[in-house]
Amino acid sequence: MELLKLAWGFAQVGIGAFGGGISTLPLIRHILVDNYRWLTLDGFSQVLALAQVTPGPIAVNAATFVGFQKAGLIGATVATLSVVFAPLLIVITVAALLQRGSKNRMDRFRNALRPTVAALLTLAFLPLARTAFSGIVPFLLFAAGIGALRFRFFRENPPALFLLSGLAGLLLFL
Amino acid sequence: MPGKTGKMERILHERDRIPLTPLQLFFTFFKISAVTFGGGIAILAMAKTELTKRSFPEEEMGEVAALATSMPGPIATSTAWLAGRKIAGLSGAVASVAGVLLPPFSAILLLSGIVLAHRDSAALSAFFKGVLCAVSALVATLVFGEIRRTFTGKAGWINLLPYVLVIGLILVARLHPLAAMACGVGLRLVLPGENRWSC
Repeated sequence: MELLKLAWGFAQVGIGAFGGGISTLPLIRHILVDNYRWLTLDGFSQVLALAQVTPGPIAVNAATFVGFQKAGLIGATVATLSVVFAPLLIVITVAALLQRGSKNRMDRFRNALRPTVAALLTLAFLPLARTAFSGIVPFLLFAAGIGALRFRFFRENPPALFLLSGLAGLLLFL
Repeated sequence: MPGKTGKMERILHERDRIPLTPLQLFFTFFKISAVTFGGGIAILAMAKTELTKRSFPEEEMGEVAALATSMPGPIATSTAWLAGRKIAGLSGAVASVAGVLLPPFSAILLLSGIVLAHRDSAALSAFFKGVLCAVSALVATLVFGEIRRTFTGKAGWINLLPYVLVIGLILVARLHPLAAMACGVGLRLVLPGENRWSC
């Protein structure tokens, strides 16, 4: 039963994951925190932080984590496979239906997606802002991050910045 | 570019494609996935470099990229499936997806045990709080860049309507994000104004 729920929940996450990465956070949060209550808000933030310092897309990382937490190795496998293969079924179908000329239509769709993705990104920032603006010290760390992202090295290797900031957090927040 | 030399190129590529076996695809995508943090778009870019270097035609990589970025699902796994499929058939697709999934899967499995065991530890929350401050910094710059790209240019202001609609529907009306997204895309499709950009 738990496995079926995991499969269905993460199939929805996968199918709704448009635009990739951060812009999928509002949906992931809605499904994992509000709908299924698999994670608390704090738990969700922890998964988000963990996903940022490990390889792979956030949706996949969240699936493995929540699946493991709910039903061990099997749960992790089921959740991960459904977050990947449910949307892949759509991709495969569309790829099969596509003719040479339909690239225009796809471009049009992607253009139409743009403002929605911008909106989702903005929404993804809100809960993060709550952490970043929760006090002077977190805000300074946030500002330092903005400054560090002006450097090419950190823009190309954000996990390096995240790890440094995490270590700074150990010193500052403990 | 399709056209002129299309047929000839296609024949050449059929032959060139043979060198990448499913096993090689697995390792190629495993490597890309293990060293690329920050998800989809980054992996797509890496895959493009790695695969075109090994004689996967750029035109077909373009098709893969167009599909992977406009369809739902993690971009990394869609890219792996579509490219793997074109290069070595069904087994190539499965091998590529397995390669892309294994690094994040094993990393989270290894770490989730630790995180779950120490979920109330002050040190772990302090560390995560630090990470999240930097993540907010990154997301803030992403939001800023995305907003600038979405609302500038010819008829860019019209994008403001679906943007506000989606935020309002999710934040105020508490609609399911998927429904809100459908409304946003639908509204943009019926609104006038072609706003083209390259992805």
